[in-house]
Amino acid sequence: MPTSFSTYDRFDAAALTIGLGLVLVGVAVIGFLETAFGSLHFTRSIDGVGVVVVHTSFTPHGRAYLVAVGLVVLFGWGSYRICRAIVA
Amino acid sequence: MLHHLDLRVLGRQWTLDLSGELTGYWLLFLRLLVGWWFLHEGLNKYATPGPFRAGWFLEKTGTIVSPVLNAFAGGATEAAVNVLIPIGEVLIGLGLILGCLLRLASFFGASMMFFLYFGEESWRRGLVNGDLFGLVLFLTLVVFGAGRIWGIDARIERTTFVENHPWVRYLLG
Repeated sequence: MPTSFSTYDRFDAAALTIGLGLVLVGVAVIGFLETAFGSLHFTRSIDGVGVVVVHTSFTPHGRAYLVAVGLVVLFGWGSYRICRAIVA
Repeated sequence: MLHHLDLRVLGRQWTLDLSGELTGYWLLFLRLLVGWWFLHEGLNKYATPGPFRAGWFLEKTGTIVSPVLNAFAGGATEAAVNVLIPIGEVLIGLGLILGCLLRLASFFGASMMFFLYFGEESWRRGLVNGDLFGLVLFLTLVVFGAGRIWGIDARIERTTFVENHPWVRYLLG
């Protein structure tokens, strides 16, 4: 690949750090906090009721939004790299 | 052959010794495995009696991607999705197995897995589940490519068109 394809500046590093970081925070970091201080699982079996969703300190939806935003940042960065290559 | 890489990650300099052969074998393996997964999923939808219907998924409420999914529910858009999902899975599977437009095929695979993963209402299987790993596998293929290894992308990359438009390599392996 030409040099421009493999050149990474501060903007690229920031986008990768934020995008991948958000995914890791949403999945792993909050997952660890949830395991350590909340519930291991989102669901629990309750007699007569069945399986219910347990809402702990961090809602699954909130975590999902964090992960999704991280992936959207990565998608935006990838699109920017392609546009930059087209313009160059 | 061992390749010595100098790289900067999170502001610090690091080194990485990478075996070209091991990387090549592993990425080819990954490509074929994920390719067969999606090809099988697509073919299975054609083999199952009755037309494929995505309505139940598009009508989901309470997921973080519901506004997007619901926009396609009903009418001509749902009919289009019913056709595009099986054919898309087959094309993504073939693209990966044949190493043709590998990054583009992997991008579409990742997009499908994005909606499958985030189309979860109650996260009963937790946030770390098979759909997340499917998404990560496709993104890994977007990052590393490897359509050139026993793949058609090796030939496509040598065409005059790609030589004149180097950005197209972002879509290839």
